[in-house]
Amino acid sequence: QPKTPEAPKRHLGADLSRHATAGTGEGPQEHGISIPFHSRSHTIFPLSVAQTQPFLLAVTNTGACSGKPLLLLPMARPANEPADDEDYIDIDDTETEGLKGASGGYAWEEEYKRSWDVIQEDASGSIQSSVEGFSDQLKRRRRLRDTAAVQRGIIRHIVVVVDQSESMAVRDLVPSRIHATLSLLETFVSEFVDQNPISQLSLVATKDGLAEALTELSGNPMDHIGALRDKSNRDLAGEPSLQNALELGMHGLRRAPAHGLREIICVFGSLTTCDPGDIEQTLQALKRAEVRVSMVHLAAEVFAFKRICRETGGRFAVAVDADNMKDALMASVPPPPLSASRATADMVQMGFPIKTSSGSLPTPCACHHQLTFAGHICPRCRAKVCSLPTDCDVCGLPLVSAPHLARSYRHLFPEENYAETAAANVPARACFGCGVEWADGGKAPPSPRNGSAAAAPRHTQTRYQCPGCKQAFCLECDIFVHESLHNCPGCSPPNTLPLSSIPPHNTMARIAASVTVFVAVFVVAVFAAEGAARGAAYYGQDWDEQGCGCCCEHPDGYQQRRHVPQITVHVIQPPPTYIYDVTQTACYTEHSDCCGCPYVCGPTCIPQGEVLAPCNIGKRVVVADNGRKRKGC
Amino acid sequence: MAEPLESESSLLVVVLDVNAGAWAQSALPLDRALQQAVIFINAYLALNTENRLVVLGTNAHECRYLYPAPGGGAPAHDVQVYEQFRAVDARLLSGAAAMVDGAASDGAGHSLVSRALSMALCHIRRTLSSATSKVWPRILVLSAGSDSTREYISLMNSIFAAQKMSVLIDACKVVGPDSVFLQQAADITGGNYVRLDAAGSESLLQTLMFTCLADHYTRGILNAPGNELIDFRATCFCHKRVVDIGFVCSVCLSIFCQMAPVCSTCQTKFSFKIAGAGKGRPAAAPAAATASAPSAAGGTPSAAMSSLNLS
Repeated sequence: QPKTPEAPKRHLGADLSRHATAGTGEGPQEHGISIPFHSRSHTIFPLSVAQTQPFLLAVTNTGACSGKPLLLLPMARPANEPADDEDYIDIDDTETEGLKGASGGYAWEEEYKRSWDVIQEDASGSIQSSVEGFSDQLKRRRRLRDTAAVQRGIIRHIVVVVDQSESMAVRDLVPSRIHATLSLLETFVSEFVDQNPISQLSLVATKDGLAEALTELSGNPMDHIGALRDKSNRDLAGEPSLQNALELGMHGLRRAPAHGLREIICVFGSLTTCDPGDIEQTLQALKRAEVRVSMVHLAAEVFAFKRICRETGGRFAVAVDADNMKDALMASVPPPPLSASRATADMVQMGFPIKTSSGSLPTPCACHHQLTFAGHICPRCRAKVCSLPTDCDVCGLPLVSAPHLARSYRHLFPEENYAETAAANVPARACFGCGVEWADGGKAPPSPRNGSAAAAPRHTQTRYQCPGCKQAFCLECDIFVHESLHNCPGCSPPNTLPLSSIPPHNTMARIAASVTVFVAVFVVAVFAAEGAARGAAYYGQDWDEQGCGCCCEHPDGYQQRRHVPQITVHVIQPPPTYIYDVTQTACYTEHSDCCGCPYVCGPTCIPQGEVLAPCNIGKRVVVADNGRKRKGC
Repeated sequence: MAEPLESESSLLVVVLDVNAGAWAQSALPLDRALQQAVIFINAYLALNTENRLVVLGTNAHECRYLYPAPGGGAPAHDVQVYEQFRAVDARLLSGAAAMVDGAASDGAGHSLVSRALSMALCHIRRTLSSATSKVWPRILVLSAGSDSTREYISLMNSIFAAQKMSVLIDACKVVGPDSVFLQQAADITGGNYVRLDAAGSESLLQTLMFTCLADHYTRGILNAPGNELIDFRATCFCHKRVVDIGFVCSVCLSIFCQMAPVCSTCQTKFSFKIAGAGKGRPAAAPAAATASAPSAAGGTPSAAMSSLNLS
C-alpha cells in the first residue's frame, strides 16, 4: 500500500525516502509506490497559485541533479482512491486531476489526522474503556462474512509459492518478512487442512531466478509444517522468478483431477521478477489449465502480478501490516465459490476404510513401512494406512472417513449472520449461548459505557439476534458461532434438512458394524497377510535393480517411484494375476514424458501417455502415446 | 502432558438428558440416576477447589442451564466447601425436576444434544477467555435418547469446534442402544464412550467415576476403555447401505454407491471423464481414443475423450 504522508513538513531536509515519487513516464510501472530518492529521475509537478500550501522542498543529492533544489511532493495517490483501479495508471504527469483527494484538495492540503485524539480517558483517568472499544470494533468487523450457500470448490489442490528473494529480508514485518511469512504459513497450513480435509497442498519457493518445490502435493500437514520450519528456508538470495514458480506449480497441479479446484497462492515481497520467458505465455497456460492465482504482496501493488491474479480469477491483496497479511491469507482458507464457467463436477471414487487393530501381531503399514498395530485398511487393495485422510499409497484411492466429509458440510449449510438489535427488543435475561447474564440487567444504558467488569459481556447495549430462532446472543458468542462453531445454538438441530436424504449412521450402520466386527477378525488377518504378500511384490527388496528404465532414470532426474522399504517382507506366493492387474492396484505417476520404456514395468509406472480404458478382461491397460498405441499388461 | 500446576483447574460441563420418554424405558429410574450423577459431581468438585461446573439439562424441546441457574445464585467458582455441595445438589435436582414436569410428553425420544453441545461450547469459550489461570475444559454427556439424523451436521460442527478448542467429550449412554454419534464425538475429541447395559444399571456411579472423573493429565496415565473398532464408514444416500468404496459428488459431497449421471441431492450433471480406475464406468472402447493427444492434465488419467454429458 502506498504510505500516505503525515503532517506536511515545512522544513528542508525532510526525510525523503518516504515521500519521493518517481515517474519515468515510460508506461505502467509499479505505480504509486515510494522509491527512495536515489532513483533515476524526478518529475516536477506544476504548481498553481491556489495551491501554494505547504509542500516539501527538498534537496536531493543524486548524481544527476546534485545540489539543485527540486520540488518533491508527497504521494500523489488520494487517500481513498481504490488501489485496484487499473484505469488510474496515468502516465501523463502533467495532468493533476487524479491527484486530488476526496474533498477536492491535494493530500497534503487535508487536515492531518490527530490519531491521538481518538483515545479518550474516562473519569478515573484510565483508557481501558477506549481500548476495549477498539477491540470490540475489530471484533465487529470480523462479523460480516459471506454466508451465501453457493456451490463451493470443496476439493481443492493448492500450491503455495513463497518468495525467498532478498527483498524478503526487509524488516517492516517483525522480525523480517521471511520469518513472518513462514510462521504465518504454518498457521495457514493447519487451518487449511482443518477446513478442507479432502484437499491437498504443496509448497514452492523461488529465489535466484529459480523455483524449487519444497514439498509435494499432499494432505498431511506435518510434511509442510516441517518444511516451513526448516531453517534453511530462511536463506534468501537474488530475485524471485514468478514465471518459474507458476510453471512449477502448474506442473505439480497437473496431477490434480479436473473436478477439483486448482489454485496457486503466492506470498511475494519483491517488486520485480526475473523470468526466463514471456510471462504472458504462462498466463495463457494458466487460463487454459483453469488455475486460479492469488497473491498477497508485502510491499506494493505490482501491475503485472495483479493482472495475472485478475485474469485467472484470483485475488490480489497488498498487506499493510502483519494483521492485514494474516487476514488476506486466511481469506483463502474457506472454499471459494465456484464460478459458473467451471462446469466440471465429477463423482470421485473414495474409500471409507475401517479402523482396525491387529491384536498382538503388528503388521507393516503402506505409508511409512513401519510395523504398527492399528491402522485403516484400504477397501480396494487392503493395504494399511496409518491416518486419514490420505491417498492409499498402493492403489491411489482417496481414503476418507465420514467425519472428514462432514467437516465440509458447513459450507453447504452455512449459518446465518446475526443482526444487531437493541437491548430493549430482547426479553431474555441472559445470552442464549453462554448463559451469562447481561451486565446491564436488560436496560440499555443511555450514555457511553464506563469500564465494565471483565466478566460481563461487553457492548452490553446491543444484542445479536439470530433471524432464524430469534434468540439473542452476546458479541463473543456471535464471533465464536460464526468463526468456529458454525451452527447457531438456537437453530440446531434444524427441523427440516435441505437435503433429501442425509447421512449415514443409522441402524443399518450399527448392525453392519457389529457384523463387521465379527467378520473382520477373521478377514483382516487373512487380508493383512495377503496384502502384505501383494505389497511385497511391489516393494520387493530388489525393486531398484529390476526397475524399468523409465522409473529409475527419469530425464529430469527426479524419482517418482516408491521408496525402498527398510524391512523385508517375504513373499510366499504372490498370485500372478494380481501383480499386473493395473486396473485394480495401479498408481499412476506423473512422468508422462517418460523415455520409451517398452513395457509396463509394474503397477506404479505407466509409460508415456494416459490410460484410456481398461480392456474388458480387466487385466490389460490400453495406453495411448502420442498416436502410438501400446499395450501393457 | 506435563504435570499440571496447582493453579490449573478443570471445567466440566454436564449435559443431562432428561427426556421423559426415553427414561421411561430405563431400568434405572431417573431420580436414582440423578442422585448418582450428583454424587459424581460432588466428587468432581472435591478433587480441586478451583474446579468449575456447569450443568445443562436437555429434553426434546428445550435446553437450559440448570447450574449456574440464571436468576441469581452463587457463581460456579465459589463452590469449594462441603456445605456448598448442598446448594449445587438442590439446584440441580430441582431444575431437572422442573424440566421433566414442564415438558409435554415427548414420545420421540430424541433430545437436543447438539444444541446442548453448542451452548456448552459457547460457555466454555466465554469462561476460557475470561479466566486468569489455565482451565482444562471437558464435557460429559449423560444421554438417554436416541440419535436423530437431523442433528448430524450440527453435531459434527460442535465436535469439530470442540476438537479445535481441545475439549474432551465423554459420553455415557445410560439407556438404550449405542449412539454412533456420541461414539464419534468421543473418538474425535479424545474422550471416552461408555454404554450401560441393563444389567449394569445400578453401577452408573461406578462407571462414571472410573471413566469420566479423571482430568486431562490423569487420562494419559490411565488405560481407559477404548473403542478401537468404531465404524467410520458412511452409508450411501440412495440405499442407506454401508459403503466401503463410494462415489462422492464433488459439489455437495453426497455419497453414492454407484455412479450416476446426475447427483440426486444437488442436481449436478456429471461429465463422464474417467477419474481413476473403478467400477461402473462404461467400458469405453479404445476406439474412442482416436480422439487424442494426451491432454495437458497429465498423470491421473482423465481421458481426453469427449465427455458424455447425459442430460
